Amino acid sequence: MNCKEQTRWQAMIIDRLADELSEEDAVLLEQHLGECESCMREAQVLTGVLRTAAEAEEWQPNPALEARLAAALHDLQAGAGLQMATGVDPGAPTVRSAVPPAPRRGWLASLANLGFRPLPFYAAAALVLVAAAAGFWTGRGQPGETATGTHRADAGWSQVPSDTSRMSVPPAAGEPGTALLPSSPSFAAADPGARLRATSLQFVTVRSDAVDLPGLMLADSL
Amino acid sequence: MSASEPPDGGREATDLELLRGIASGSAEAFHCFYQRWAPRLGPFLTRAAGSPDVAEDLLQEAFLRILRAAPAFEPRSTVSAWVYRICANLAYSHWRRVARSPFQGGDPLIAGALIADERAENPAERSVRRAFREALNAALAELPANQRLVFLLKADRGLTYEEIAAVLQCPEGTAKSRFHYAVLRLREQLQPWCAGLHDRSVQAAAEIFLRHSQS
Repeated sequence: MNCKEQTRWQAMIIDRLADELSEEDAVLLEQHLGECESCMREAQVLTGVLRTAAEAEEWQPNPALEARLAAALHDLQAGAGLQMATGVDPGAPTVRSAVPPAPRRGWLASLANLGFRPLPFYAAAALVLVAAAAGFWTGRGQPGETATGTHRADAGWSQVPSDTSRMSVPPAAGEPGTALLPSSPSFAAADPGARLRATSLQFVTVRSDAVDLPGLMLADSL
Repeated sequence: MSASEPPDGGREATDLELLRGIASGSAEAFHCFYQRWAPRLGPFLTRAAGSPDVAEDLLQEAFLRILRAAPAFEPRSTVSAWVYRICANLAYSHWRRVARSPFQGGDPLIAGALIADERAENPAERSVRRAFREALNAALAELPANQRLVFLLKADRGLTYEEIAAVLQCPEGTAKSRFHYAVLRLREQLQPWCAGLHDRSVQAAAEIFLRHSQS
């Protein structure tokens, strides 16, 4: 621009394009543009820049978005909080729960509020009970008899066959598809460490030919 | 029911009425609000994010924030300023994230600018317009965030300085000066195009563009 007051006129051009110029100033500007070729050219340049910038960006509405948001509103009203996937952007803001969790009530809740997590406690207590019951039950059994298998006097272990039709031919100890149970008091007497081993607990899967049965079993893990 | 359809047969519901409807869980109020605001916020966020996919995520987040905050809205500011402030915050956060990300993979605004402007009939004109938009978006990405936001609110959304000041919670003069700086910086960045633009000649712009791209 070669105009002496280019900064002033340039600012007025920008305000004019932004539709923020007063009527009086707009008249002044138009008069000036009629006389000053340099400012007129500047006005054309800025018009081009702003006109292009003002062109609406192409945007295709996603019809699923409104449905998702309507569902979120419904959840919000139901007190379930907002749970929506944020989609493509890995850094997209995380959607937090809309409703803060209601304070829990009761003595158990007061433990939970103190940071005590009851689930592991329950699990451990259940395991101890199962172990005690199993120990009691195996201790009561007669030599050579168990509820699930046949006592082998030579080894002192009963076997839980994977298939009862093959009980007469029990799989070898440690073979896949079997779980070993300490069974007899005689074994415990013969091996003082057996009781200790008997109470070590593991989650194992008792495998049958047809289905997998996840279950809690006592096993010799040592 | 469309956004322009009067909810009670008399007049169109105001944004505030719709927002209160949303706060009370009205699906109809939300539908009207969405139909009214999504076409405004979608293009704005697309330009701010530079990518339609990212823009959709931001749009979803904007509406989620609106849903969550609707019960607490206090009409000290207009609903419009409040909604744009939510979007402005999202845009700021997005720009910060992009600036921090080591996996930018090029400028997202440039990627967004690759959307062809199919309205131009002449292929040469179309390519020039597309290239200019690309250059403009690239220049826009170079602006400081506060200037970029003011520029988008003004040039893209047509908000007044007063409204922008309300959105950004800054003095009106600050909004005005940021817009001026933004325009002048864009003009500087787009200097190679400007010789053609002042003639309003697409052919001239095309020639300049070709010279510029060859050099």
